[in-house]
Amino acid sequence: MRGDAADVQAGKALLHAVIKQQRPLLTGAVLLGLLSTLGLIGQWLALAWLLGEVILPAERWQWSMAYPSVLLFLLALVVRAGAAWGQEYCASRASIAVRQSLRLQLLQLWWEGPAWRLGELSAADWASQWGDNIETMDGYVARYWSQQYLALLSPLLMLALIAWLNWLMALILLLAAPLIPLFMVLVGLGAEQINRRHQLERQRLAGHFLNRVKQLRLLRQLGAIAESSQQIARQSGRYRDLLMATLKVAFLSSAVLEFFASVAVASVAIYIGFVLFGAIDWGPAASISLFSGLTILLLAPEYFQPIRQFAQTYHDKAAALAAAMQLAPWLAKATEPDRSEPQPSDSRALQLTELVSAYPTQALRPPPVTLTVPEHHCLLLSGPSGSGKTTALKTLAGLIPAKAGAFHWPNKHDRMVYLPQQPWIKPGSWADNLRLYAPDASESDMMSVLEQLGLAPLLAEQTNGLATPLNPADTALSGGQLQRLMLARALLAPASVLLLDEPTARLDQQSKALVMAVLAQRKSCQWLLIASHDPAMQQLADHYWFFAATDAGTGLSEALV
Amino acid sequence: MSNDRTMLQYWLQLLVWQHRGRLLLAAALTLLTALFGLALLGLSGWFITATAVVGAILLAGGSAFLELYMPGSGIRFFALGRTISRYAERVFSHQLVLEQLARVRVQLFQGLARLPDSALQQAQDADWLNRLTTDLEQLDTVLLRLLLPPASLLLVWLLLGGFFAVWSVALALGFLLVGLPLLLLILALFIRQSVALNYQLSALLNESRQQVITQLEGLDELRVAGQLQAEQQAVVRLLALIDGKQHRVSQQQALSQLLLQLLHGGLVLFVALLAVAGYQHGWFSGPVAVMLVLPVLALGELLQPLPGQLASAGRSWFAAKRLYPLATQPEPAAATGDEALNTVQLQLHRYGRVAASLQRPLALHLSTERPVLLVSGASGTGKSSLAELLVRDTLPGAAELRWNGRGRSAWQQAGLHQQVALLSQQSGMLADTLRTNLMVGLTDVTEQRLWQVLTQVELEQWAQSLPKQLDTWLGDSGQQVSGGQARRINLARWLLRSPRLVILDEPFYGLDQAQAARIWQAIQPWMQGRLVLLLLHHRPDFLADGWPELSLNLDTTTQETIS
Repeated sequence: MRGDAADVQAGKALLHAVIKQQRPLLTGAVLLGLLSTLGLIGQWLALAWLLGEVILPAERWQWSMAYPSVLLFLLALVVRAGAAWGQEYCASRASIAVRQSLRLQLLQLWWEGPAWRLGELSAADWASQWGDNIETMDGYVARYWSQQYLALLSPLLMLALIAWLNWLMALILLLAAPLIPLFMVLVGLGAEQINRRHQLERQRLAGHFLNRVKQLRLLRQLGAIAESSQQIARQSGRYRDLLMATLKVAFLSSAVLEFFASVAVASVAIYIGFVLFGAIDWGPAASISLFSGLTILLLAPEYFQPIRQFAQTYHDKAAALAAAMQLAPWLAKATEPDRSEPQPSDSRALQLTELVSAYPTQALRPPPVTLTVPEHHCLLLSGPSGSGKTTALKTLAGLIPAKAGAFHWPNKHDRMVYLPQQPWIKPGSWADNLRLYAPDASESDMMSVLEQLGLAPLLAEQTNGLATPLNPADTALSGGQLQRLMLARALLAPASVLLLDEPTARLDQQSKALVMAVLAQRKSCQWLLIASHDPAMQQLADHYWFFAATDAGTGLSEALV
Repeated sequence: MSNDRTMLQYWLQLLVWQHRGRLLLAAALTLLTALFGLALLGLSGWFITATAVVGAILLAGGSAFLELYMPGSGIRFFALGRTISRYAERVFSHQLVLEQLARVRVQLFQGLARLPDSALQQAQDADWLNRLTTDLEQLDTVLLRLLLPPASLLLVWLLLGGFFAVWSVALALGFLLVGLPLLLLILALFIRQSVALNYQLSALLNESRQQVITQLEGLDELRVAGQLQAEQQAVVRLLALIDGKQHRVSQQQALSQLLLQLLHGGLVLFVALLAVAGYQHGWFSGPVAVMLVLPVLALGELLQPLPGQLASAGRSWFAAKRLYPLATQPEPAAATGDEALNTVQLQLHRYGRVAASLQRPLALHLSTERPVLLVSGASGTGKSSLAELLVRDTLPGAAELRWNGRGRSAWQQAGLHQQVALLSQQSGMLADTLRTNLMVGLTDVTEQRLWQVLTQVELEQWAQSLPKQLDTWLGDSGQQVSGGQARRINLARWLLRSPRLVILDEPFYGLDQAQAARIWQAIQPWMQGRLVLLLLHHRPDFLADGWPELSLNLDTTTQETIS
């Protein structure tokens, strides 16, 4: 998948920003990585020293002569292992901090970001952002980032020592290094081309299994389970063949690395052997001894190791960039001030001034509305379904920014409660739900509200009373019962404003009467903003906001006092 | 726990035992690559030292002979051999992983197919599918990270020990009896801690993910009440836990890397000192001494990535544990007998989802004498819920359902449930060709017959216009199909079959009256002799007067409605 250049840019900017936050730790990781390389060089230098001295001693060799090289070896070992430990520690700390901060940013976005846009991603999509997508940052931060420097700097450190010992060997290794990425790029292009050739088929095969799982009930009804599982086996086989065709080429790139590393060791060994034998005397042959020859031989494979590790982490970057491209636009929104926040004013009434309520993405503009709703009055938003009542209610709730104009809530209002048509059921018990907005509500508070709404008999039927779990998929409660239960939750809240969307839509006459009675009583202490097409609601209303359906489905609105 | 053991056995059987031949080959290739690496460095060391020794003798005027050609080609052979075997190893092991995955998918599919309908309902849930995918992907790592690297390291270790034994028993014993136990100890300690930690971490992440999903569903209400932040404190607490666990995981990993590096360095020094001693005692020559030391150096390349590779064990275990119950659903008893479904009786009393039943008991009765019934009701009156009840494998207490006068287990035993066709409101499209979509589960359907049913549902012209007609791919990566078209393709699919009971839930969705009437006429011959339940929001003009009707609309004066 490839996104727009702007998406890529945003993704890169996000990666850059997360790295910037953790710069000290990551720089530390690189420095410790270099220190570890120095330790490694010291270790192999000491080993070559020991072996070279024993086998071709300048004078008669004694064990005491081994002390310095053994000491150097031990010292270098401790430095190398300790530094590597520190490198790992710094890098993973940084990565943990990055993931933690991204998750906190997502929470922040959900708390304060533009509510009306958050619905563009489903809850399941958000969950993948929260889970897997953020986890992919680990590879990038903990491994890729420091390795991109170490892949360059560590070989250079070793090269410096080798150059000091024998410049010709250093030159050969130096020339080999840039060839590796070159070949890898060529191989990568080849793999990409093969990949593209079967793009569509691969995409279909990749989705095959999940599609069949999704349609399992249907397949079972059709008696096609056996056939489908055979098909899954066949398609998986076909998918494997296609994927392998690409992988066979893609793996050539690691073969290239392997080839250079192996051939470098082999040619270093053969050249040094021939020099030491006396068969070659050109070039800087004179500088080679058993000690320097062994040192170069031991360092040659290590020289390629950081490049190899870098190549292994390379796909971490691609994965992190893909994840960052999805996250970046949202996290940018988290920092935007949310314009939908209602403005407080000094007046003691809710004031709507030339207010136009519509989704920001909506092209049509309903006419503006100017209204004043004093304290303890009820505003009824009425009109046929689809005319924009819910949008207006959400605007007043602060969930959607006003398209034009403004509205002001008095300073005095402390808290609002909004009850949508399909209320959210908190996983938990009846009591957990009733206490959602009123953590201190006592059992008798809850009982009395339930009684007012005619739910007491229903509660009595529950096995565990208020502690009975409330399962959203529960078949025991009808839509109307749930509706009233959620209304009870809203009524328990210590709020000065109630925003109710079609609170009586699923109720029978008897229950409706109970709800109307409770709402009438509430008018004495709360602002009631009710969207409803139910004519009975007019008994409660002090102010009206009418919506008329238009052909385009967007409301025309008109205010009456 | 014995439960865990059964589970482990199951996965080992599926992922390892069933592929044992190829697995051995993959392991052999991994081993070969490692051995070539060791041999390359060892032989190179020997070669350099030998040339240096002989060169020094020659320089001093002595006489000595060294054959340069053979070791030179040996070095080249190992260098090239390593490259080739690494490539072969990677290709081969990835092929194997894909084969394992194919096997797991088939097992999983068959297991899922045995789940009760109520459990399968979650397959419609995007997050459930996401997690299924993630879990499956996690099993990829079993071979490449958990099996091959440690296995090849152990074998290399043993072989190297054997090689040492040729030259010095003390060296071999030290390497095998001190080095190997230390290695195993470090790895065992690491795995013990890491599996548990990573498992817990996966579980915590998963839990946070679920909490996030539920809370996002209530986002609007929680935001307006200013309650979201408070509600999400639970998630924040989980994040702190996750943070702590992640720290411990990384500490574990760094520590075991440290220990492995110390072990490796210590071994190099130990072997070097013994080699020096052996050389001093004249047990072997200088070049051999070097040849013994350098392969130990090359072991580092195998040791270093091990903690990172093994760390995925906990995550894989978490995934395996979640997939296990799905993959190993018991097979339901096979249906016997060839009895035809002749009567269906459903009684419903106070079932919340069909609101009318709260008001009055509902009875639905189909038999060969009264084979058809129209169930009507405005949207939200529970028509689909009612249709679902007839095919669901678990019934709420409020419903009583009898087929041929018998209860569920008896009719399942008789295979009656295989005689039902439900045309539901879900899209029911397979991502596949139009042909496969029509005849999935059937063999021997002629081309002519396929066109015939397409004509009956008035999709013939549309199918003709498709780029590859019947072989056109439908779905996201092919020809898009509208909701109404999907409904009719589903209908056509049933027209190719002979179910006894046909449940049609809003079959004319997206069609105008005239077209609906034509299709209705066209499928009349097929409907003859079957039990038909038709669910519509109101009675259409074209429906024969003989059709009895059961209305789900409420007597609006007394009771609650539901949507």
